[in-house]
Amino acid sequence: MLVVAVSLNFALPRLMPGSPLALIAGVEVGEMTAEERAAVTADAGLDRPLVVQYLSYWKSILTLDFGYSFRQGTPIEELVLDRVPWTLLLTLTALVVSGVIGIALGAFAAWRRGGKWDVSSLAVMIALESTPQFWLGMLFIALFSVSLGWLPSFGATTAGADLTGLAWLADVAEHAVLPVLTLSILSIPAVYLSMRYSTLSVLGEDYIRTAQAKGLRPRTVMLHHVVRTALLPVTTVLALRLGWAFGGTVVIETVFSYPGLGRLMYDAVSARDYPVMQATFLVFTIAVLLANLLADSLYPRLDPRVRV
Amino acid sequence: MAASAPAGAELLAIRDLRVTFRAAGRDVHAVRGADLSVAEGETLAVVGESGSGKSVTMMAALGLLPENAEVSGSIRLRGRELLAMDERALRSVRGAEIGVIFQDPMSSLNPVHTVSRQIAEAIRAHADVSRGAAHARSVELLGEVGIPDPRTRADDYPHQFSGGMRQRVMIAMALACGPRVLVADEPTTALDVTVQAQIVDLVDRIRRDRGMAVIWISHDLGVVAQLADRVTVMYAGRVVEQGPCADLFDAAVHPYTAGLLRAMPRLDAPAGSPLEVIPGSLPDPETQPEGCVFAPRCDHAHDPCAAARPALLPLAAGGGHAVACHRSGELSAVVGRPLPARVGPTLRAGTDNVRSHDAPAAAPPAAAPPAAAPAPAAATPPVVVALEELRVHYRGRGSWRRAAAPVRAVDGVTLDLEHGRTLGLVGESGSGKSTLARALLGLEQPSGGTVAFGGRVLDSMSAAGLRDLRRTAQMVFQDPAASMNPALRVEDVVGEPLRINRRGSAAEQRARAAELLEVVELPRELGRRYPHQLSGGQRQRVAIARGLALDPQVLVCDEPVSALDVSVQAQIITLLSRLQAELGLSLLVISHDLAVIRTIAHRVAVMYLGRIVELGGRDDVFGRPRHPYTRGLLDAVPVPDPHRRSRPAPLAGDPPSPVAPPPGCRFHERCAFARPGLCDTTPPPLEEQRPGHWTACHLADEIAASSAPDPAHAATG
Repeated sequence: MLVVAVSLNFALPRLMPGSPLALIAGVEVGEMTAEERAAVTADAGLDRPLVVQYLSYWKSILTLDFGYSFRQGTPIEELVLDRVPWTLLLTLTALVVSGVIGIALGAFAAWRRGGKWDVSSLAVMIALESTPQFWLGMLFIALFSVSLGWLPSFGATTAGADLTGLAWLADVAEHAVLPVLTLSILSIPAVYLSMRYSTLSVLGEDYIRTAQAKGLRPRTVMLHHVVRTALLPVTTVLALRLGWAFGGTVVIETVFSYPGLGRLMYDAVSARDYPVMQATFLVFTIAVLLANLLADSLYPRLDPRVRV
Repeated sequence: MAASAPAGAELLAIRDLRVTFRAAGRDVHAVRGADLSVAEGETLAVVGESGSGKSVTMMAALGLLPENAEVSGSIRLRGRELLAMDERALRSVRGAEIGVIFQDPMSSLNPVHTVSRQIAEAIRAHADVSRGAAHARSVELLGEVGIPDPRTRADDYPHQFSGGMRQRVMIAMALACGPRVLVADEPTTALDVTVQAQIVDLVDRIRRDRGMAVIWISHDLGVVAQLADRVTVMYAGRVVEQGPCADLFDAAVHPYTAGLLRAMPRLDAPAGSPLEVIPGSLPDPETQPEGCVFAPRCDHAHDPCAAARPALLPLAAGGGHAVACHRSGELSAVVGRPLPARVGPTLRAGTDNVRSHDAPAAAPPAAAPPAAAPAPAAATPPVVVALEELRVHYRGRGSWRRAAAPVRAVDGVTLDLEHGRTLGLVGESGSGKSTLARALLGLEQPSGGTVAFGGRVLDSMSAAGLRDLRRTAQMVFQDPAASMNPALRVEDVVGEPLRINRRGSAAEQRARAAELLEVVELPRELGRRYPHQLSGGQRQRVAIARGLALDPQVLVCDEPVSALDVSVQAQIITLLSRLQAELGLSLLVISHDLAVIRTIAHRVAVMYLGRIVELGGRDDVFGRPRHPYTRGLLDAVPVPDPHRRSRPAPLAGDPPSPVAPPPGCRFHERCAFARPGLCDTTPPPLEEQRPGHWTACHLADEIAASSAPDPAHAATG
């Protein structure tokens, strides 16, 4: 599984059209002489046969030495590690917010199936599900930053402000509000829809009728029997989203010029910066696989039926 | 309306209950005016087929109907009107005053909570007690319902219990707050016959100990005869007959009740006698018939029947026997004697169980059995399928600590299927019956042994071998709805095997499909419909037609009638018998219902934990069973005769796990006769101990010689 993912990681950037040479040399490929081109290629190790490149790629992974960025010349580890906290700030906050809201709304909508609340929330969620991230992000910037001037529109901190302590935290929070808000709102529908569906199917189970026949209050039936069981499949959805969280969110980070992994990936792709692309993709892949593993090991704790 | 009143003080009384479900402009009339009541300490059985409204009636009493249900009439519990109560007051009734047990104990328990927690929850919903006290009480209750080692098992989850034990947990939960009324909604339908007997005994014991009233909802007249004090028969949302249990079984007056009694296969009927068939099906639930709901299917219907609704009136003879029939006066006068019927062929009513709409002049019962006396060896029909030492082991679930032990679903079965005859395969769930059938059909790769068709071992792993096999053997499944593609028309369902095997042109296939529908007694026009538009019985006929499409020699029917109502069951059994006689088919019929097997099979194989323990002619196995397991199974079958209630104590315990079958005789742990040092060490071979009658038991001769043993000594699990 991991091997296939890692190999794809190597192949995909190389299958993309365009060459990294221009970036490395700083001039258009057409303007270079053949000798110059060869020299640059050799320097970056791109003249070696693909097999050799592939093997050295594996070696770098196993030794956790990702080399240097073609573009910036900085060690890739450093680049990635710099970005991870910012990305996690956005994605994890959004995950928690959207998880809590999505579960609550989904369960409530299912409980009132066919009612006004269910119908209207379902319509809103489906609309949100198909809202493009960049559009909502730009809308928020236009509204809250440009028109109202309440919140900053780009970056993770105020450039050059050199704040410390609480002031710094406030600054960070201020910058995070819009991206987190955008991301949360757009992540709710997936959680909502799976929770609503899962709750509906649990509501039809015989043991819910049993619980009612015991004379339990509707609140108890809902919390102890319906929601508890309906959460099982939703946990899987959330765990997988946790994996995605590490990959950052390319569109949002780009719209808000946020220095996260997604932005790094975007820049690397536009510059054909192979090593950075590979590194970011790899982080992403491993995060998704780990999240899967987490979901698998969490599941038996929640569902006694799958315990060995 | 003066229905029969129970002897004691009325506890729960339902009067003129009507329930209508309103959905998308269509009204479904589930209950069309039902009256029934139950008294302290008595067991009332509510009998009816699916769609009779028996469960809906009980759910109405509990206020657990969906929101689109419109309820009218009266439901009084100790004089208090339940239909007038608000939700809060009703909650204090549910669980506390009326306890409920549902049909399927697996799906009715929450899989993610321990059983003690689910019981404690019921206690704490109605009484202000501490968590600890509630837990202690639930352990007590688990002990009371016969869960061994309740202290430890209390913290287990439902899936860790067997089916019978789960139903005991359900009962413990229903009893948690000491209700006065226990509603049991088909509580044994999903269970094996041996476990059913255990549960019936348990509920009866609890009723006596606690002096509570039990309302037992069932479609199984055998169980009802064993435990009911009074019986209420429902049909299409109305009560058609009501009375003391013995009166009802001895002298059923309503044509529906009488027909139902004659339609059910029973172990005490003359072997092989054809079943009565109630033609037609339930009225459309969306209509509201003016007259009698049963009139369209009734042999005795005359003009007033369709015009006016008959009231539920006590019979002149009294005794609390009430009938809703315009002709009850005439019918009750001639009960037990042949009746003049207005329509249809002459009715030979009574107990001889011989009437068929297809063959008005039925032969006398004794001559009717399809398999006459065991044929002499020379006349044994040729063998069509031969299983030789067949084994099917599934890979078990292991962990990194222990190796996976195989699940020995079928463990060394040698069996012949004869040409033109029916082999019945019986056994408890988990005995390997279905796996055996699947292996025969090549749907399961045998781990050992062979399956030979006409002496040829077919290689089910090669495409050609598989095609050969499919032309030779076909299958009919239990649930006809689930075994058909809902997007195909009936004619395409039936014609699909022809299409797959490229038999003829599209037009020829269609013609053949129409022909097949007629073979299974369905009108050709039905071919244009979709499976969901058919009734359960019609769907099963379609499944049989599909099975016959390739003219197979062998038809394997896995529980072909267990998803169907009694009256429809009889139709399908009759059809299968007829097809076999006409087409010379070899049938392998698997069923947990021994009465069904006895009606249809020529030879019977009894399976226990992956092995055949007894094999022989129908009359030998049912009439002179030699294996203690076969005896236990037969004893556990409830006889639909309220005068024969005493029976040996049911077979105790559950079948052991096929992962680690017991050494020696696999049955010895549950056997009352088991002899230490022999039965627990040496596996008994399947021997022909009597001509044509094979038994795998060391002690069969001794057991047969000794008088009936005291089954109270039966080992408990």
